Amino acid sequence: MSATQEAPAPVGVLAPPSVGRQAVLIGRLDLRRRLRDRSIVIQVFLAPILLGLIVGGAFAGGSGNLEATIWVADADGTDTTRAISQTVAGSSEDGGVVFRAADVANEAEAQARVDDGTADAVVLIPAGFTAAVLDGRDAELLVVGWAGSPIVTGVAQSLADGIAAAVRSQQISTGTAVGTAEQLSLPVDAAALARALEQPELIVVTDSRMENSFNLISFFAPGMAMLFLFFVMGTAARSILTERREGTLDRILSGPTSPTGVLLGKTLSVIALGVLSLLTVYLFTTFAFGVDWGDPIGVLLIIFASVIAIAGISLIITGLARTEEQAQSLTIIGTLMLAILGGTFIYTASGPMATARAFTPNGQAAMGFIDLAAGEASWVAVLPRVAVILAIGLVTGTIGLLAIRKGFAR
Amino acid sequence: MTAPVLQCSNLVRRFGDLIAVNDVSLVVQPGETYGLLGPNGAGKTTTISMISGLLEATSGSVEVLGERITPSATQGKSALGLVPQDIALYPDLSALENLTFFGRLQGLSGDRLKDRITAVLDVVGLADRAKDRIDTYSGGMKRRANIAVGMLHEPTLLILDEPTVGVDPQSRNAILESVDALGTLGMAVVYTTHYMQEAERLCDQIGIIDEGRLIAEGTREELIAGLGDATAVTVRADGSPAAMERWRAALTGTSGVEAVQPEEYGATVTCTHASSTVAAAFAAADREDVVIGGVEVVSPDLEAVFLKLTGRALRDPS
Repeated sequence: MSATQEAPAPVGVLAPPSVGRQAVLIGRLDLRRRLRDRSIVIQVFLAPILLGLIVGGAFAGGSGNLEATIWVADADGTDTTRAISQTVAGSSEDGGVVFRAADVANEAEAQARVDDGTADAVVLIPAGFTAAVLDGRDAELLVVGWAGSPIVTGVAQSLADGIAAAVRSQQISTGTAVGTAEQLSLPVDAAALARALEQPELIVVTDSRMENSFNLISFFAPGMAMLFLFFVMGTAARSILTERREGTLDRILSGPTSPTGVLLGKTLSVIALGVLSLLTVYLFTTFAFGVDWGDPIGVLLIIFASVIAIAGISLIITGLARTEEQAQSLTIIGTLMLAILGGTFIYTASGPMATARAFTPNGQAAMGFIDLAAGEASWVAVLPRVAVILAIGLVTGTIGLLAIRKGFAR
Repeated sequence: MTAPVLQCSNLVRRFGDLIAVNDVSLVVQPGETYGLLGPNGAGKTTTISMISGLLEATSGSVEVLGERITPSATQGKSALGLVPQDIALYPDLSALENLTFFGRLQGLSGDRLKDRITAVLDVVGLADRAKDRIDTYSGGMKRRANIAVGMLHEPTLLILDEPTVGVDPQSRNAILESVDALGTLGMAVVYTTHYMQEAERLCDQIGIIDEGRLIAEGTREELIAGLGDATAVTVRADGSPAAMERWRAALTGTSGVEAVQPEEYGATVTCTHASSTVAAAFAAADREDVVIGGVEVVSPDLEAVFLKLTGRALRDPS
């Protein structure tokens, strides 16, 4: 240090920058440091491209479309069930998902056909099905699938749901007709009623996302990208804790910078990282594998909303954790929980897991991406999902910010 | 009378049952260098943290240029410059990049920012290493860069928290010269240290803090005058631990002895009459089988003041 040098005299108190400017300065520095240590290159480019290659490589063979054979097995053997199975079998064309009428006596046999690969899934109409319907008792259709093919099982489940709905509606209209005739003291033609029951108007309802044109990469790539996004966000969550440990956070806060400016800045850099990461997956799978994600505006809206939501969750993690190690553990736990609940690992068409999916940002995003990829939804149609995802981000972000601010006020 | 730059009133900070800072009040005038002197764990850093608005006071208040300072209040913080005890810089950035970032956060920009960076780099002697990453610096250079960031925006009040801890003698001297210069430039400085010599050399006013309480305050001369006739005598002695213990106890009970601080080499004794104390030390040594190796009567200093006030040395025996 030069003792002969003289520092200029104090010139008075400077006007501090606005909170927005503080946030930009902090966010920019964060990104710059990540660029310098190359973590940004790994998180935003290399890893998403690797992810795209893995998913693309796994599902891009052949047409890349969902191909499966689903048997509709009539173990009841009545005219009604025969009509059902024949109608279903005639509804599919060659290639993609094929429905085939087949003779299977019971659940064990259906399971054996699935296990030996003859069928990818079996919808079994059990013996006594028609009699139960006619007696007004509960009648069940059985779906047998392989746990490793959740999507095919989902298609079979949708098919069974459609059959059940058709039979139920026929049952209700017949009951209504009989009830009305009795109230009006009109004679009831039992034979006509029986004919009506035995010739149900069968509508096979298949979930649009499961149609033949659906590309599996379109299902797995967004899900995996969302999963990856959690880890990116987790890294960002740790950056505030790292700055606290290194003392730079205290140095910043000892000046005119507000805690809000710090948090906004960190969140800005996290959002930029997340958006870039998802955009890389989107662009790479589009150009390298020809995946059609659907309406680009819708895709961008979902990407942006998802990043906001996950940034909110990462703020909660930052608020809860006291050390970087805790933040890392919480990130892993949070990622796994959301991946399971959001259906990233196992897709179920119905049940509690399907309900839970609606409350997770990744679940909502995945459904939105699927709607877009199936080509049936425009960006306008996914706006409700975008709104839900943003709402999740708003709630979690607010909770996270409150927790962090509480931590700042030592 | 000019308005004070810093006014702390009855500051208290509790951590659960522990009272880290207990009713500390102090005032720092413009251009004054105020030394907060105390051993490790005395409450210096906690006090500094409240002054710089990083820690909420349990009770009491801090005002800088009349503005109340709290963790949520940013208004008065522009007048503050903090040099924390640990290096608070981004190690993967250069000194220039660190200074640019922290300068912008303080509201500096354009040519003024460039001029200030050039000026402080010259002051701390890092102009030729400005573009090198901080993690390539030596410990002393990091300390100097740490100080440069604190004084970049020409704060009205610069707070230095033990800035010389862990640095080599050469860097330490350079840092002290720099701080000395700040005081003459009209910048008010709060300087915490547990090195008595630093406080004596740099500070216009000294507050002695121990166990969270400000136990004495004044200029060096005023504090030493408070000793009255007291003198410090260092006695080099050797014997078994039990014998040394009995010898020190005997000294403590000697007339005119105010405090006996055990040292590795023997003891430092604060007393009113050096000659009778030395005689008593030899007599007790004979009785307790202790061998006296040397005796030195030292001029009263802040160490002696601290010893008299607390019965303990400023620094742990080493």
